[in-house]
Order: sequence, then C-alpha cells, then structure tokens
Amino acid sequence: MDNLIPITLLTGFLGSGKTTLLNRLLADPRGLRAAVLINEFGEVGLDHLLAKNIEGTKVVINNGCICCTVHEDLRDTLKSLLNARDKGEIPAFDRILIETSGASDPLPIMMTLRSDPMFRHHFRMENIITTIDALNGLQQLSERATALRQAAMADCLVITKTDLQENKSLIDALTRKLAGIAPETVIHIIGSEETPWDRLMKAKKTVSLSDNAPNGQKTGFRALSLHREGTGLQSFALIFDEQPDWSRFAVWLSLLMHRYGDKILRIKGLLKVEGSDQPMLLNAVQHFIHPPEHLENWPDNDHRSRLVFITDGIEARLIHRALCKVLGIENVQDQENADF
Amino acid sequence: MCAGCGILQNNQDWTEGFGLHNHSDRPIHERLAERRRRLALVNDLLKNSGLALREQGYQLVLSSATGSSAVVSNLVHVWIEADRLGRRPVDPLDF
Repeated sequence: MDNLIPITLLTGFLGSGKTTLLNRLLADPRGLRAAVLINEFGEVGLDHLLAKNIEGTKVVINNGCICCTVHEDLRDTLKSLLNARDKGEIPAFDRILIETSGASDPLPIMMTLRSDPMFRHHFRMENIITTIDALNGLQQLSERATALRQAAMADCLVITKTDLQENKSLIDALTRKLAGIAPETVIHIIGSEETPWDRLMKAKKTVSLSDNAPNGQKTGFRALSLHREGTGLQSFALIFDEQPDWSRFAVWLSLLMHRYGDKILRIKGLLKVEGSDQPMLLNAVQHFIHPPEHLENWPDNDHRSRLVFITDGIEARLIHRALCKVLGIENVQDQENADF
Repeated sequence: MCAGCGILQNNQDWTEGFGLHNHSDRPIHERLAERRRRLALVNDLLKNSGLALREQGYQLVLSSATGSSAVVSNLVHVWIEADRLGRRPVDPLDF
C-alpha cells in the first residue's frame, strides 16, 4: 500500500478557515510535494486566488461544486495530474490535498476515487480534516446539517479562529459539542506559530476509547451520545473480548452499508478476529469503506475489540442488537443508559 | 490486500481466502470449503427475501423462488440484485 499516493480531504463549513489551514499546511516543506485541488465555488475563484503558494500542480475545478456535479471533472483532473507528472510537465507529487466546497459532503469525492479502477492503483484515501470556526461553529453545528455531518465524518477536527474568540468558555463548549458528535476523533486547536503538518496529515491507526470503555468488564456497550448534544446524531461504542468470525461480520457489514450507508456517518473499529491476535483496523465513512488494515501490534494494553458507530436517522439500538448477533457476543446494555 | 478484506472492498474474489492473511497457498479443498461457507453466510442474510445465491460452474447466480435470476459479480452486486429480485428488501437489522 506504501506506493499509493495518499489523499487528504480538507473540508469544513463556508468561512470556517479551510483555505487558511491549507496555506499553512503548504508552507511546510512537505507541502511543496503536494498536488492541490481546490473546488472553485461560483464564478469568482476566490479560493484559487488565496491559495497562491502552489506552483504547477494546482488545478482549479471550474464547474462549480465538485461534490455535487462534476465528478467527471474530478476524475479527469486526477488523470491529467498523473499524465502530466509522468510526462514531466509538473513536479512529482507524493500527496494530494483536496479542498472541498464548504457546502459539500466529502463522500462523493471519496466515491469518485473508488469509482475508477485506475485510481485504486494510484491513490488511497488517507484522512479527512474538518475545520470548525470558533466564532460561528456552535451555531453552525446547531443549524446546519452539512456542518454536523462534516464534523461527524472527520478523522481530525481543527477548531480555527480561536485567537478571535475572546470568550474562551465558548471554545470549551464547542470542544465538548464536537466530542459529543465525534467521540473518537481528535480535536486540534493549532497555535498561530505552529506548523500543523505532523499533527494533521497522518491517519490515526487506533481507536481510543480509554475514557469511555467500561472498566473491568469483558464486554461492554457504551452509548456515547444519544441526542445528548441536541444534534440528532447518535454514537455508541461496543467493546468485547470475544474473537468474532471476520467473514461473517464483513458480509453483514457489506449489507449494512448497502442498505443504511447514508445513515451511518462513521464506523471505526479495532477488531481481534478469530484466528489472529493481531488487531484489524476498520474505518468507514458512509458507503466508503477503507481497505481494512492488519496492524502488527495493539496500540495500547487493552486488547479487546472495539467498534464506534456514529449514526444519523437510524436507531443505534437496532444496530447494536444486530451487531451482537453477528459478532456472537452478549447483548450488554450500558447501565448508565438503561433507557436506551 | 487479502481476500478476506476483499469482502468489503468488493473484489471479485471475495469468496476466497480466510479473512486474515493471504492464504492462497492453502489446499484447494480448504479454499473451496471457505467459499461455500461464505455463500452460506450470504444466504443466511437472504433467507427472508426468498432468494438464494448458488454456484453454477464458475459463476455465482442469485435466484428467486419464482424463477428470476441474475449472475452477480461481487458482493455489492448481490445486494443490488437482491433489491430487484427479492420479495422484500434484505434488512441487515432484521435477519
């Protein structure tokens, strides 16, 4: 997998600071070897003008929102990039950064990458970075479904404009809200002098539930947020000691994503499957399932399997019940959420 | 990528392998046994829809009780055709 070019999606609501963050990432020496695709939204390529530090490999997509209408353009653009690189017309690049339109969902871009067999041999989805504005983020998360879904799908969340927010308690409230929406996702606040590349550009190879895992239990279910934050999203974690049958689980998961992929915003998991003590890393964003990875070692001393689901518009308890059946584990409800 | 992971990556060879690592050096009878087991797992989920997935030579065929059928190429294709041919949608939350 190492010879595949990693792709990072930079998303976030309109005005949330995506381009500023992109420019900071590109200021890193490693950013010089990144090809950048920027979605030009509307007639004025404002983002294009702002992202001015890129030479040669920047491609602005002209036909509006890449996520809604111009998948062909994205596909053509990626092919053009590969061709131009192979012909020596542009410098070699070892990463692609795609800044999405603020009004868009990242999934269609990911599915475009999956849709072409050629891309599977050249690219791999690395991570989704979502920016949230410290000034307007709380309001946007409450009022804008797109902002909420962008946060739920993220691999890492970056709170921007913290220096402009004088009321620090609002930053704390935003952090808590984000933790409720995406309980397993790392939330970053990046100082103005800091180079954020190392913190943001590497996919996390673990599922951290140390604060949420029921202690001393072999099997546990923890409802992490069930409408608690008033978001409409639900998230839950399942922790278990049994070693499930991978084939049985994967066949069921394939059907689950086919039927309910639009309502399952995120699945992350670390599984100890039958026949192996090594963990298997599972990562899915709606219909897009990353290739499962066999990790050599467990990231911590807790070697129990763990699964985190973030759902929107589907009852978490229904998934939990089916999961227990598929995995062959005891149906343990979280005692703190007995009404769940 | 191992064939077991191919279940989720929608590979055509998703029925082979053992889910953990590349077991292509396993004896053929073991690989065939695993293939049959995976088909049984799919059929377990399909049972309420009146459909069945069977091997016909090298092809996989999804067929209904009324005689409709479709050749399927991978696992997602199975679910798509099941929506078309089944008497009711296959529900992963109710099986």
